[in-house]
Amino acid sequence: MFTYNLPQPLQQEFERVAQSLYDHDSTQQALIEAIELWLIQQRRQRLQSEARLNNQFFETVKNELEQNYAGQWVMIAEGKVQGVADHPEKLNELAPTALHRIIVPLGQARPKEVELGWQMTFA
Amino acid sequence: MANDIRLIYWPTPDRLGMGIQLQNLAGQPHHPTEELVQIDTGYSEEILIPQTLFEALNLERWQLPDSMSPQGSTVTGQIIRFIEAPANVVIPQIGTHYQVIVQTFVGNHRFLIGRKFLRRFKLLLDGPGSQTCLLYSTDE
Repeated sequence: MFTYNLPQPLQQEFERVAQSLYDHDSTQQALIEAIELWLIQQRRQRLQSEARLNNQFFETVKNELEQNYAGQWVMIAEGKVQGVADHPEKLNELAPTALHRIIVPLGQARPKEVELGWQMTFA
Repeated sequence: MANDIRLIYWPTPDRLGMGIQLQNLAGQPHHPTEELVQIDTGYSEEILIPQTLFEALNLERWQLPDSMSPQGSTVTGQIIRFIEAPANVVIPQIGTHYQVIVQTFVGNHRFLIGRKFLRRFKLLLDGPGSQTCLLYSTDE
């Protein structure tokens, strides 16, 4: 249990909207949803930040990795190389708290263009 | 000696498909058994998954670099930048699994099997029987 004070106009608006949407325990339900949404937003921001860092780092070491580890898988997390292995599953345990990790099959050609079928016409 | 060829099938009265289970590289499955996933021979790669499934399987923890991601475009001219990760596809009915690169893009809701995945198999599209059949060798 915790108690916090909200600015009065914010509290009044919050309660008014919550009561218009829910029959029972309106404020509590709205508060739970608000906290869940905030946590999702924070996770997404952290994920984007980690992804940016990992991708920037990969670009700086890409050529060196290609030269030294062709045919292997490299994992990058927290802005550094975490490990190299011949199978990607062998890298699973690295950087356990990272939300974003890059895994690279070095030396494997990837397509530049993807054909999308009629399914995507109405996407 | 000739291989013993067996046949399994999925009832597909409307859309052609295969029953698969997708797993991340830590073994987390997307479905407790299998899901009938539609075949789209117009899609050139292996497996296209919904963005929500990409997130549910935490595939950001095995993501390919942005600079390696291919582009696609729809017939309406919309440019799509793919998000990719390695994953495993299991065909539970025959107990085999295949490492694939799955793709998604922002806002994608489609779950499709593409041509590159299909090249691994002999498939029979049985229109009159309303089923999709997979021929496989028991020696595999």
